[in-house]
Amino acid sequence: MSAVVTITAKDLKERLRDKSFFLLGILTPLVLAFVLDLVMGDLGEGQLEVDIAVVDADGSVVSSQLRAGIAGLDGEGGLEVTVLDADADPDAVIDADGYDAVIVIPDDFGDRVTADGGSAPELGLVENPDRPVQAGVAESIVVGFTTNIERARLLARAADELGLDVAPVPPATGIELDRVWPGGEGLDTGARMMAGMAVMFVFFTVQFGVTTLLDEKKSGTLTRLLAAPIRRDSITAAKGAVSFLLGVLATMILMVTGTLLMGADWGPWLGVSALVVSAVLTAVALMAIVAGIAKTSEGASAAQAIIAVGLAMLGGSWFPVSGEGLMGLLAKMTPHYWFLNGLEDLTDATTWTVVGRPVLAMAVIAVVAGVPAAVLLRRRLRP
Amino acid sequence: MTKVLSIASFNLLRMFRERANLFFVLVFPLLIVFVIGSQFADDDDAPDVAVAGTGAFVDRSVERLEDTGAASVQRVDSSAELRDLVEDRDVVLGVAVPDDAEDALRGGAGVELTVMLGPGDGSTQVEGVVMRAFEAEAVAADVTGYLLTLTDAAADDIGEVVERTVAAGAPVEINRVLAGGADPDDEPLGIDQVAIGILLLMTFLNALTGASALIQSRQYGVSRRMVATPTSLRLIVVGEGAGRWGVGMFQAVYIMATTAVLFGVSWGNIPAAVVLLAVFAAVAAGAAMLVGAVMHNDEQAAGITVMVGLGLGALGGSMLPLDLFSGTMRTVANITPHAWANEAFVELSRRGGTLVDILPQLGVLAAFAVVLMSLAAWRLRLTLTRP
Repeated sequence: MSAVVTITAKDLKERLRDKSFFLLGILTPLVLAFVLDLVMGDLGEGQLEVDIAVVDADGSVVSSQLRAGIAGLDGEGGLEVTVLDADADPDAVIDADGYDAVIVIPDDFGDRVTADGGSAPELGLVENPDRPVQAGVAESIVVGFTTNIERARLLARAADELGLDVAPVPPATGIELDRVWPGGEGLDTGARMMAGMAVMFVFFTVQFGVTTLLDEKKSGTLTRLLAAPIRRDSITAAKGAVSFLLGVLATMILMVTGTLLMGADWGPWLGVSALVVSAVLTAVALMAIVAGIAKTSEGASAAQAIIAVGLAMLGGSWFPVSGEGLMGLLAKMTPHYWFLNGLEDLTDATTWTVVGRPVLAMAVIAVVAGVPAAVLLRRRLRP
Repeated sequence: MTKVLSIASFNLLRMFRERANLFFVLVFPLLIVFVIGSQFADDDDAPDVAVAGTGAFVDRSVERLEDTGAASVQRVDSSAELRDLVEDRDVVLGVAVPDDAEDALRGGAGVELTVMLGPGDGSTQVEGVVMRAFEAEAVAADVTGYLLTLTDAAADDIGEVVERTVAAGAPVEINRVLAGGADPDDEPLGIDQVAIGILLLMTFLNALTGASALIQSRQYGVSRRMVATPTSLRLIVVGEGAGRWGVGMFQAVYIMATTAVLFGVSWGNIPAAVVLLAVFAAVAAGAAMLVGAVMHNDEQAAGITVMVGLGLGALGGSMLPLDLFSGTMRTVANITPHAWANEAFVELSRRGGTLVDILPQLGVLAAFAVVLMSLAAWRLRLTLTRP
């Protein structure tokens, strides 16, 4: 036992002295989470910047109301609305000023809306081909206004037929919304990115333990360890312990930094710790398999990088994945998926025990990978 | 010249001897393009929405919603079932409509729809489109209910008048066109954008990994022995740079060719694209040389490589299209070579641009390359010979 402690302590000291651990284990995921949050943080409803222009070629009462309604959205939830001259050419202004979409009210719009029968009133929506997402928002806005016009139009005509006087201001819809979040609101983008990077990079961090077995072999220190009167399992146990401790240390630092810098609310810390510990265990087990198979430490690092990045992508570290279909099945085989989903559930939960299922899933992965890893690593212990 | 070539070719050889590198250069990029492409570029992959409730109003609203193509709708029997679907994240959003919703609206009473939102941004992004479909289908009932408050006439009579009026009028139509005249429904954006992003990300990242090799050469004393041969320091630096450039260029051309064949990605004007790649690979080579010259051990270099490679990629539009960036972030993105190259590729592939159209971007990239290469050459001259 004391051999395990001695080797672990020596390795830990060496690792913490070397800047690589901080660079790859803490600084890199921190910087990446920060950058990704900056880039992807403002995509939610009312955050995406959409720049719309309106051309009213009609100038009728109906069109002025519509124009004023759309213009009234200026400054709301990322929207910017510009009213252009009646004779502006939408294609030209999109090209010159980069609007995301131009809403065109044609010159007979008001007449067609108020006329009895006749052809359908048309609204033009000229979209910027480079901005399909923003143009989609513009379309949704136009659809909303169209519904208002239809309501006012129907009301005016029906009232006319019934011989009633109605106010020119159309009534709002009788539909009211009760918005609920049955599964909780989940993590916000910044927190999710931080968690995603933390679990991705722990796969790099744990290399600093198990993979050093290959370095020890190369430098000849492994032979000396084998010559010492200690059990062989102490050596693998110590390497595993170093990986595990470094992994937990780095991930917990990142999770705490997430709360401090990004205001992430993870929920009960007991649950967070359970998730972190089980995620790190899976990482140690998976990376130990590679260390057990690879011939050189360079080869091991490269293979581990493939696994780390590949699993992170499949498991949702970069972008959320759904649990459906083939991709969903693959995702469920990664610890990343369970770690991130556990955190999503935990943030709205009252008790830490909600992480039971994800922790169990990761424990299964850890055992399935850990047993062959132990066997393979043991075979490495030859002078 | 032969010396430069032999230094460069040995660098390439070293890279390809490592089987894991082969994976990263040959297999991994295609894998990501495929995975991300199937996640984002698939038209059938509209977010899943579930609706509980029965009756003509719900049927019409669901039909209208499906016609928008913005969501794929699943009908469920009960609000409890809906809640489970949302909780399990099988759908991003659920709407529970009371069975008597339309009658309630016709009677002038409001009706409350329960919107169950899943966690994250996905649900709020689709919420507006979903609710507008219901509102649009509720117009007639809304008007009937409103008129009922103004008159003593029987509800059925009012309803009949409204129905007749609806049938008589032609509803407002929205004509969507793309500026330039293309059809908005066969928007090519998607896999092309993903492929451009990944090409730039992987080219830069894989060239940057060359930094470790440079550090190893120094650690093993290979560099000093090279200096001891009758080869000028300048030639060695140029050769090492050419090696990194070759790796980047190989990666870029490989991704371009394979994605074009396998996924039908269009890269636009090929000669212009190749010039662009050559300049971009030079920027990446410069960055790799600089990291290799400044860092002391290859583990640190690996950390920097991942951080710089992925960080600049994300910031430069490789993970999320630049067109979705906010105004401020779009400006910030211009500190990365990726953003300039991305812009140039979009010009080539989407707008049919030629070499002349991307000259400004090429100029900026060339400036990046020159600055990085000179810094690297200056540092390398000092460190190559250091024991």
